[in-house]
Amino acid sequence: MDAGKLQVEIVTPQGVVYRGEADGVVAPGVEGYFGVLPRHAPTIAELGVGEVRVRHDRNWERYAISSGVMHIRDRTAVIMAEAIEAAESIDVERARRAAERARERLRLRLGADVDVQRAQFALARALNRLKVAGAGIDS
Amino acid sequence: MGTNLRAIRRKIKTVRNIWQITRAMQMVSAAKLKRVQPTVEASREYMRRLTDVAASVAANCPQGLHPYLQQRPVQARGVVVVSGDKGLCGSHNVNLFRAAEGLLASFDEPVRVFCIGAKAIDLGRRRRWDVVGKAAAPGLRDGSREALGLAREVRELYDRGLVDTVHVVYTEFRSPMHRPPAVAQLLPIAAGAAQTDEAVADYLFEPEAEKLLATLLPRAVEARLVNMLLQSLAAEHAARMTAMSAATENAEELRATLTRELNRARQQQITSEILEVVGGADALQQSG
Repeated sequence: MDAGKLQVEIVTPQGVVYRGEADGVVAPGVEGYFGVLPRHAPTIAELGVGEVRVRHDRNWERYAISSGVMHIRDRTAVIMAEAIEAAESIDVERARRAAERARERLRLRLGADVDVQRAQFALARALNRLKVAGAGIDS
Repeated sequence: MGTNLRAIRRKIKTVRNIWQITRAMQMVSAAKLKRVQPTVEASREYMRRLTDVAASVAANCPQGLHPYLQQRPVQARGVVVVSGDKGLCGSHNVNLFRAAEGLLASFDEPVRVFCIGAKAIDLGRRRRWDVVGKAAAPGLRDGSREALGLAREVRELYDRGLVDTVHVVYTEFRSPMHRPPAVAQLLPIAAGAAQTDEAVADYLFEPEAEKLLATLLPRAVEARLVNMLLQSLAAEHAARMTAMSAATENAEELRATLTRELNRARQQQITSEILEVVGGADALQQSG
């Protein structure tokens, strides 16, 4: 293994999404985005809704994530997430519809707090997917 | 004689139909098993890593802070019974039910049962268990997501204090030929399971360890139950494949025996017909 590289893995319950060497990773921690370079201190961080970026030479690979954990030690960074999608495989139409549905629910039923919270989270996830996919957000 | 031949022919036809059906089911199960197996592997890998991280965080937390790591006084126990939705899979469900009934009988406290799979629901009704939740077994297409939803429901039983322990009766999938029924305690997490042999490294935690543990532990528990559900699913298909392959072989054997019987009966009939013709000719000659 190249000493100046970071071993990155992205693991979901459905399988390993990414495994390879990288120069750095940027991830959405629940307390804000942070960058990880080789020789980063051992860290365990919770990830929130946002964009994970893996830098490989000059290229950035981008992923939309809604929640997860990152485990950094011994020059390896492992991201565990229940749902994470590579930018190019995001279904823009589906994300748009999901955003629309969530907006509709927020407009109509401001009754039960649980539903409102869920709708807000759904909206945030959908908008995040659209953003990572590079699609416009029409409101 | 003629009716006997017809009866045997009809039997052969029936056996042939059965042979076709069991062989088709065997092949379908083999294909399904092949599709489930990678998901079992993937969920095991995910569970292992998540448990690993949770253990590292737990090692940095003062003992017994999180309810999942604490044994509270037991007033009611929870048992999750994981069966298949369908039969025709040999002893798969029977072995599992024996393990479940053994476990239930070993508890002194009242037991609340969560039945997963149509067969487990049936058994729960027959045995008059206190069934607090039931669901169909996770399917093939979206198994891991369905399993995750179920895992959440089970975890909520414990969170809401409806049960003070959770055991799972499922089928371990070690290989297609080796799939013993298994009983595991899911909650609270046994002290040994949350320990790590890794020296307590000076990790940076974001957010602080206690908060992190509070989000990690539920997920680790869910991942473990998801893996058990998927193992059970794979084991069911493997069991059906084995059972149907045995049934196909039996049908083949039966068909061979019946065909032999048919040939013998037909020859006998021909022989007796010839004898009748010869006998008739003899009688004519003698009278003539």
